[in-house]
Amino acid sequence: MKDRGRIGEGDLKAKLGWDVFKQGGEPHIRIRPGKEGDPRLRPVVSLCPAGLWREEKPGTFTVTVDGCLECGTCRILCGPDLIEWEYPEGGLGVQFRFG
Amino acid sequence: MERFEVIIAGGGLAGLAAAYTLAGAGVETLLIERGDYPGSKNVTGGRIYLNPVRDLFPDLWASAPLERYIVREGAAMVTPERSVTFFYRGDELKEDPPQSYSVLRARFDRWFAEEAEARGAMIIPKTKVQDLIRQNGRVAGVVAGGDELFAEVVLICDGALSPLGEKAGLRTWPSPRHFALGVKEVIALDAAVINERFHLEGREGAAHLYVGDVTRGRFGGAFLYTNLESVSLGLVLGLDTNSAGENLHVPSLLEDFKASPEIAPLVRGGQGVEYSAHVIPEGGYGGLGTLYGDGVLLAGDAAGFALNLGFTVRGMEYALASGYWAAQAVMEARRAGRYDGATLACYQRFLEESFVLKDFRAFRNNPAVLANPRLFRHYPELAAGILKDIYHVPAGPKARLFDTVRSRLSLGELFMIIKDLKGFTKL
Repeated sequence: MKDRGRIGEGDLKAKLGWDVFKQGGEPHIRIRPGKEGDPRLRPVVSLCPAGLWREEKPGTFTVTVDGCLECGTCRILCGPDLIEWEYPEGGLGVQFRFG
Repeated sequence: MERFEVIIAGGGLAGLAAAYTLAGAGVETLLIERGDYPGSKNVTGGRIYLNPVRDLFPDLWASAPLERYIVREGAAMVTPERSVTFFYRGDELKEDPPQSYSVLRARFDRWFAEEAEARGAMIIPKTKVQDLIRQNGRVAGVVAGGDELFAEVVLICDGALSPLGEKAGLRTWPSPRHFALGVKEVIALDAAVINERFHLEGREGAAHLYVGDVTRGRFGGAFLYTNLESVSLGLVLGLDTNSAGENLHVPSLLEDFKASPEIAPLVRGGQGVEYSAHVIPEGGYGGLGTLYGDGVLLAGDAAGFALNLGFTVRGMEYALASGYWAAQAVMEARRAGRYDGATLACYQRFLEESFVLKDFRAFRNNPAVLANPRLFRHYPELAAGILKDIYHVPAGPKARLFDTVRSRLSLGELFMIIKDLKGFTKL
């Protein structure tokens, strides 16, 4: 395999643009207050399929939910001590047309 | 106060199978789905095996919107520089009825929900079950869309993460070692192009699996399934990051796979139409939750019903069958007039007697054996290396075939292969 670079941020956004999202409501994923610097959040930065977890400043993590595929990876990896994780409210979030 | 006989939380295959079965038997059934329609939150890699579930839903399959029946199987071991692939084609795969189909869940589940509704099930979409109602120590209903809805029994079919299974006390917060992450693209291609590229005719389909460098040698693999007018292309990666080194960037991994020489010519000119992801239960027998309690049953991915058998990865049949058997357990409880755990325990017995828990017991060693890291780096390198030597013609004299192969298989290597083969006998 030749091309082993990182997918560009714009390319990943474009790919998420294939999907139908219904936005609204409160963010369904939140880092618990005071846990933003917990190094146990680091693995999910590279594993999140939608690239929504970031290490904005070294050692400080953020998450956004626009484009969330609701896969659950961060829920499993981070656990209840570090994050609050709920499914979006009914009728919101990603709506797969193929699945 | 709204009251139903049965409330089902979640419109995936388990919930829909239960609703279809219960409604068909005249049981008052309400299914609550958080997506715009059943299927809108559901993801599969792409392949369903019908033989185990055909007779549980005898009227269902003739008109089911499945994609293509699989007549060509491919498996590849991939290294950064080369790959070894084999294909299997067999006349029996073309016989009617076919054993396996590619499937897109948003289409299939939506249709399945309409079939359940036609039998009398009530389905409320766009509504999330937020909580369970407990009364006198038993589950007595759900809170959904702000309303309290009561039922004799609640079927929890809310998928692999199962927040409701946790609320019912049947599961704990899931452990990474029991899960893998699947990511997938659906890439639109003309049916005629698919048929030509994959050597298919009509509605025949192909299924390819890839192991090795697609996950950079980590636990997991990649897949390609042909649909009617698209291909499902994706990969699966174990979530147990404690045992791994640096973290892999999953979106890039999928891009690299798509750009690889194994895939690029197959999807050239295709247009991506959907990008999806979901976690997959991979814990096997050891990853199963408690299946029932007072007034409550757990089915499908929520119960952990998915199995990685190496060459076949299965979940949908277990979801369908567990939904069916959950429905049978509800009807047993209905006859007894009691929905306590002791009565609903027949669900466990039904599953033990069916292929579901028989398979889970038979394959209980799979997660440990398949976690062998040599499968994902060393063996692809070894196989590709041997074939490289075999196919190479040097300027001078060529070594004998046996010597060529033997040079890659030191005594230490042979010892390790025998050791691994001993492990594989447990598969």
